Amino acid sequence: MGDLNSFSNERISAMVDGDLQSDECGQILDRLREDAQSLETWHVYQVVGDVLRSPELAPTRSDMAFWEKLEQRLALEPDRPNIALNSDRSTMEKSTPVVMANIGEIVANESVFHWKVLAGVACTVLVSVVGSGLWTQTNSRISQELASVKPAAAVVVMETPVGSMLRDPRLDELMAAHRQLGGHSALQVPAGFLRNATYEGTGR
Amino acid sequence: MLLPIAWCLCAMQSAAWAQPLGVEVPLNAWLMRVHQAARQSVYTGTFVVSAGGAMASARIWHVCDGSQQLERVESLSGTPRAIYRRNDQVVTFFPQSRIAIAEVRESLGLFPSLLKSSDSAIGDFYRLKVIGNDRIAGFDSDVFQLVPNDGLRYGYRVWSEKKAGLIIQLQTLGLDGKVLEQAAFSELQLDATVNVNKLSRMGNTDGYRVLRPDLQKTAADAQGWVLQKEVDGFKPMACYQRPAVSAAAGTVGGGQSTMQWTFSDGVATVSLFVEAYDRQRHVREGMTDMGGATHTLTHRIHDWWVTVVGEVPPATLHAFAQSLERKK
Repeated sequence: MGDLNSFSNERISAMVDGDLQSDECGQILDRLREDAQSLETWHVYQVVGDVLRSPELAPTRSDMAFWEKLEQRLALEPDRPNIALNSDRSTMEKSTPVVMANIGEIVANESVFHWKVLAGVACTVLVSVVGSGLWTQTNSRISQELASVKPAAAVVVMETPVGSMLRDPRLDELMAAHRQLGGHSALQVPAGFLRNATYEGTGR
Repeated sequence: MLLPIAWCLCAMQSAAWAQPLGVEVPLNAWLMRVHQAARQSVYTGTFVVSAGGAMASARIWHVCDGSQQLERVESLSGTPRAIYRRNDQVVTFFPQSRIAIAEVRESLGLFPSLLKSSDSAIGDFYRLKVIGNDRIAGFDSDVFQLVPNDGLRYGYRVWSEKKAGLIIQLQTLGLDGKVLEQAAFSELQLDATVNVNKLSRMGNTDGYRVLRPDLQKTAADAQGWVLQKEVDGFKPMACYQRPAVSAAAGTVGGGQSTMQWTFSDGVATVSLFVEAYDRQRHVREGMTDMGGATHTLTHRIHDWWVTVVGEVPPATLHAFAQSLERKK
């Protein structure tokens, strides 16, 4: 069995390196589809290849030191009070695929999770900014580009000092559209126009 | 000969704004003054906007050449972009993606003609009070407060430079008087020498793919929508149909076209978006705090999904959502 595995692993490695003929590739791909362990091996080879091609992906000693320090700091972090969301929380939980931040049980990696939420929001905002001027286009080339920056459709609820704030990529798009056409204000020139030109959204 | 007359007019104008504190001053005349100042001044500066705990800044160049307004706004935070404006023509360059978006902002051409016309009812919904004097970005300024007459709109505190009246700081105030948003020049050079070359990029989109938003003008009535009851002070401004992006494109907007119906009370603006209801995407009805003065409200009406967006209190968005009706 061990020999069989090592033989398969070699062939998977050869496929990743592009050394196999198409019919042999087909056999390996069939095996990947049926065997979870082979699929995992294929993934490991892909990651190894990525790291070899891009040294910045490989963790260095300084990265490890950083993580160690971070873990020590997290262990020293005091517990935070459990802040309840507003009254419509139960409705949202029932009906919405939301990612909740800072609610419910406090977990050991809460701070890390908080940063992940912030990073997610930053990505969402970035995507919405890129998309803001583009979403009206029907051009297929534009559509392809948009597809490549497809945002997560999930709604993210964040706790802010003034209450819960919800980030939804679609709402961000409509906000951008509102800023584009919504300048019917006597204070528009210069303040309103400059405000909208300067300020691309919240959450960053 | 013209110069002394212009100087006299300017001096008279300045004197007219030296009012005792707390006194109400004519709103439309003041709006005309700050508008004229924005059109006729030449300036460069750094503009900073803070809202909802976030902050953004941009470098501004502005010149006027007879009837032409030329402006360049270069972002110093967020996505790198440069916005060039000639009157109502706006081109936004995104250097990272090499994309330029060219649009016509019709709303930029509305004032001051709207202020001059008898249609302007801004004075029915806001009062203007003299607050005092302050020094902003190195300039002596008059401070005014635009006080709303009801709870359907926010108030504003405005710092305008004493000599010409250019707005150099603007705060949006919540119903409780707290500052929701602030936009201000952190540094400003009035009557600066601006190299026109800095502003002449507008027509030069070499190396950029130019996109033009495909907005179709329409009428809400023709789309089958009507406001059963007008929201006090807010008049319909324009209605557009935003075409669908194909569902395969993967945008969150999906494959549906969206109607955008805009309203204004002369100072605050509200957009009503209507699109087909989608069970997958449209899951949460209700109010959302977008940070700063902007709120959104989502609301289902049978087979449609309505999103109301505006720099107004939540009650105003509710009034719009409740008033919108599908024509029988």
